[in-house]
Amino acid sequence: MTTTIYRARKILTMNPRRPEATHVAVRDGRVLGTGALEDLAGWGDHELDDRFADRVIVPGFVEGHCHSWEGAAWEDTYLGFFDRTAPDGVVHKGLKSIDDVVERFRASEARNSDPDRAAMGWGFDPIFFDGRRMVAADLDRVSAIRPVVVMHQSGHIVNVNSEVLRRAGISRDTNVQGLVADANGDPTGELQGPALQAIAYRAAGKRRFLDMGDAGALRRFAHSALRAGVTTATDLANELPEETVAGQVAATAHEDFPLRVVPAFYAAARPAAEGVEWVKSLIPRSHDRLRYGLVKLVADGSIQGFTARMKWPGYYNGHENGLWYIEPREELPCILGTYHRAGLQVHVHTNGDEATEAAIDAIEAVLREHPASDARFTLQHCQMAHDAHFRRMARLGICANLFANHIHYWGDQHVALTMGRERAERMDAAGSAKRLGVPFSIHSDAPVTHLAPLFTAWCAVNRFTASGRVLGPAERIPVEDALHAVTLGAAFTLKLDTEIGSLETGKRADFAILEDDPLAVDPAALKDVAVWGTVVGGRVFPVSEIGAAGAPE
Amino acid sequence: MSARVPMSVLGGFLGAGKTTLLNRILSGGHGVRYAVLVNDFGELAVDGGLVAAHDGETVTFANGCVCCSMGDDLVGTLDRLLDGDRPPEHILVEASGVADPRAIADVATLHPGLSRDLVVVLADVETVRERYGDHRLRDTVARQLAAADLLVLNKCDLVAEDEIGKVESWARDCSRAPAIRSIGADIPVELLSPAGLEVPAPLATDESDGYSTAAAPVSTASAPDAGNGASERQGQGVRPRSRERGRAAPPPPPRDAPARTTDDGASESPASTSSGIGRGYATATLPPAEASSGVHADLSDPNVHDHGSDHSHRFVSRFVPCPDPVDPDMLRAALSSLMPRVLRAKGFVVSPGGWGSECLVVQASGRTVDISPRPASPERGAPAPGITPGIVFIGVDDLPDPETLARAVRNAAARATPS
Repeated sequence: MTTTIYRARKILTMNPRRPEATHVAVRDGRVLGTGALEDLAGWGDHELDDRFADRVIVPGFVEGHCHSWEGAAWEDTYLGFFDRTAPDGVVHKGLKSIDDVVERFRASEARNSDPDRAAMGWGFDPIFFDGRRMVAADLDRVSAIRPVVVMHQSGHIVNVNSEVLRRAGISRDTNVQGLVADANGDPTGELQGPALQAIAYRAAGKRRFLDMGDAGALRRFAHSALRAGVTTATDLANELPEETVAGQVAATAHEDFPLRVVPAFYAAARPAAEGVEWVKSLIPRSHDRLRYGLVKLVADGSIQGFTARMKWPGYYNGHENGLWYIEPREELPCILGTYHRAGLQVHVHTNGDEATEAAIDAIEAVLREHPASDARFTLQHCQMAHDAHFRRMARLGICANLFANHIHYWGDQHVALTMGRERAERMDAAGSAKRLGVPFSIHSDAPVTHLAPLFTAWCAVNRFTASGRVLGPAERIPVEDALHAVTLGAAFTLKLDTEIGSLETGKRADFAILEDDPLAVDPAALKDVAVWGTVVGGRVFPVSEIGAAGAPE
Repeated sequence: MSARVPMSVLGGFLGAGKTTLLNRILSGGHGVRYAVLVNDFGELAVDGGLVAAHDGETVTFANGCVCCSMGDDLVGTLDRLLDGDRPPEHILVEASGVADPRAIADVATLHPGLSRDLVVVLADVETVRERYGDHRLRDTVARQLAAADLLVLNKCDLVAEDEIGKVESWARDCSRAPAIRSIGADIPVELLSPAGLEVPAPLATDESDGYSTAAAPVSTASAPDAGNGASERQGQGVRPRSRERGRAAPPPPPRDAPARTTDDGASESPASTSSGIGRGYATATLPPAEASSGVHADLSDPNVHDHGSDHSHRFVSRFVPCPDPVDPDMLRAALSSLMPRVLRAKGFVVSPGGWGSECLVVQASGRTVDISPRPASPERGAPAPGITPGIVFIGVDDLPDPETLARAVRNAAARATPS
């Protein structure tokens, strides 16, 4: 029974009784205590470990809303507008024109020796290209023979090359929704409808969703997390078929897997009564690095995809209102209630304010029938909630997990296209959530945006858009609150706050090891604080050893 | 190359009657081998003597139909069905209450193994307008009604006649689709699937029942103006399938109900989901789906049914013979212009090259018209005796009149030059 005491330049504990310390004692993968060395010596024999003496230890970050697809996405070529670091540490520069996109894709595919394999790209976002759209001829330059498919960053649109159009039989005579045509009436290769995309993937010989249980993809997911100081990450959500579950159980079985994964069951995958039984059957397969039991519902679509459900006056540019993914009046409370009665925790994706309000109504109805004082329903994204929503959420015990990264990446577009300025100023309103007493976290939704809680905290603290504007300064929160949101705040939304999220006696020894003190740096530089690595259950995982011999590969 | 399997989509909110209709299809003796794709088996009557096999994701029913849960992977489920040992004759996809059924139907338009059939949307006459009044649901209800090729106003037994009339008139503002009334979602199988109408291989006449009067679909209960000696036109090349495959042909129509044939040679046969409307024989030729309820028995009283006050709305089929060769493009345009009041059309016509090598098979439903050549069997160079080329049109009360239909077909024929 070895006790290790780590000395650090500073330890931020998130324990309000002793918020700062210099030493943390670890035994059996858990925290014995924090304080000065003499506070901890009473635990008996120990080894003093000085490797973090110049560094700052904080509780391991908890990413309350990301996807294991973050690991699978990197099998395809990243084609986004913003710089992005891959799990292997390679920084992929953002691409500032369609020609840049094509060149990156060509170079990447030149290494592909299999002529039958489809070329797949992701992260493309034409919203930044002043109206110029990608066409099939662009992607024919990547390959004129093989299928080429590019998924947009929104996840709602794909572009394909001529070969995919040919194989799928899509022509000027094809009469379906979402087929973008040029002035001559010919398809441009941009496919906006779900049916078109499903058929295009089929023609390319690809499944729309990759196997989320793939061991390599899960390791890459864990490496992305490690680089960001994340020690617990959700997979929100996953249909969790048996083969995926088996893959997750196997991949996380070894102690050298550097991440605790919390998959949420995607409720649309099965009827609710069956879903209850399935999730309950998964719970016993949980272990220290894998936790089943969470359920996620999706109420509406996305704001920048114009599929979120908006209250009056709707979209700023006049776009028609978005889509319900679950009928809000009867089905939503019915499905929520089925899981709630079974004792399972439910998170609900709501982007638009109408969806948020419908979800609150549904939860209120469910709680009236089956009162529970600590169900911790959580609204995921909850991007357009206003004060009245937060007040109701506080009284009903509903948590919020706000999509703070959206402020930076799409804030300018929300002002110009989707919400207009006043509503955009209240988007992802961490300040209001705090002021009105709603337990909250903030998130990346990786791979939609990049997985980096310090960046996410920076967004909530500064609210800088990509153009450098401060959007809604009244909703900014102090760095302390932002750090709480990405540690204990997220742990609370997952009902894991007895185990993780702070450094105090009995909690898991999960640390993020930082090169600087996030409370001491200029808040505008918070995102630039470097991550040295993590400690998960007392095991040390340096970022520098990712991919190295003997490292967790 | 195997023929495309027609796929239709069943939309409608929770409680509109989708499950009732699906249960009837899965248990009924309609003779069509459906595959029904649902999100949730839970509501379906999958137990009891009707189930032949159950393997978790697929239930096989005694009548040959299967029901599959599709989860989130519609295309994958369709591929598995089509690649199976015994592909279905018709696929029916249940859309979730808030899904846009058109987006699902687009899959059938695009998939090489499928043809897009009707989008049928059920609406509960008791609640649909109230839902439309809910600001959260209003646009979703409107989108769904607008997506329909056929609107089924269901639960008409629960609502007074004047209220049904109000719903009908409101629905006309929301949707171009023809609307029919129903009780217990009991709609005729002929409206759901072209497989319910057999188009025999035109040159393969060795089937013993042939296509002559024995199969007569053309009958009517009220045809005072018939009588240009056209009753021999009964028994055309397209007939509704009898209730069970292989069953003896239904009895011929009684004498007091001759087929009505217009001056253009079109004949028509109104029928109804109510078993009484055809005074006995209509049930045999154009059967309702299974399970007549007590309500139907009441409605079958001839004193009740024929002023439009019966809640089980009529559907109408009209046959237009087409003995002359047609130009397929002209015919396609002509049929398109008749949709969606023509819900469905099916038949075969003579190709521009005459009967020598091929005929043209016509299939139209909802928003799509397909006219494709079918090769003649090599040993027979001529149409079989007793077959009249032509097209059966199916619709509801607003089906274009026989003259309009005949003119459309005639115009397409006029331009073709037989060789």
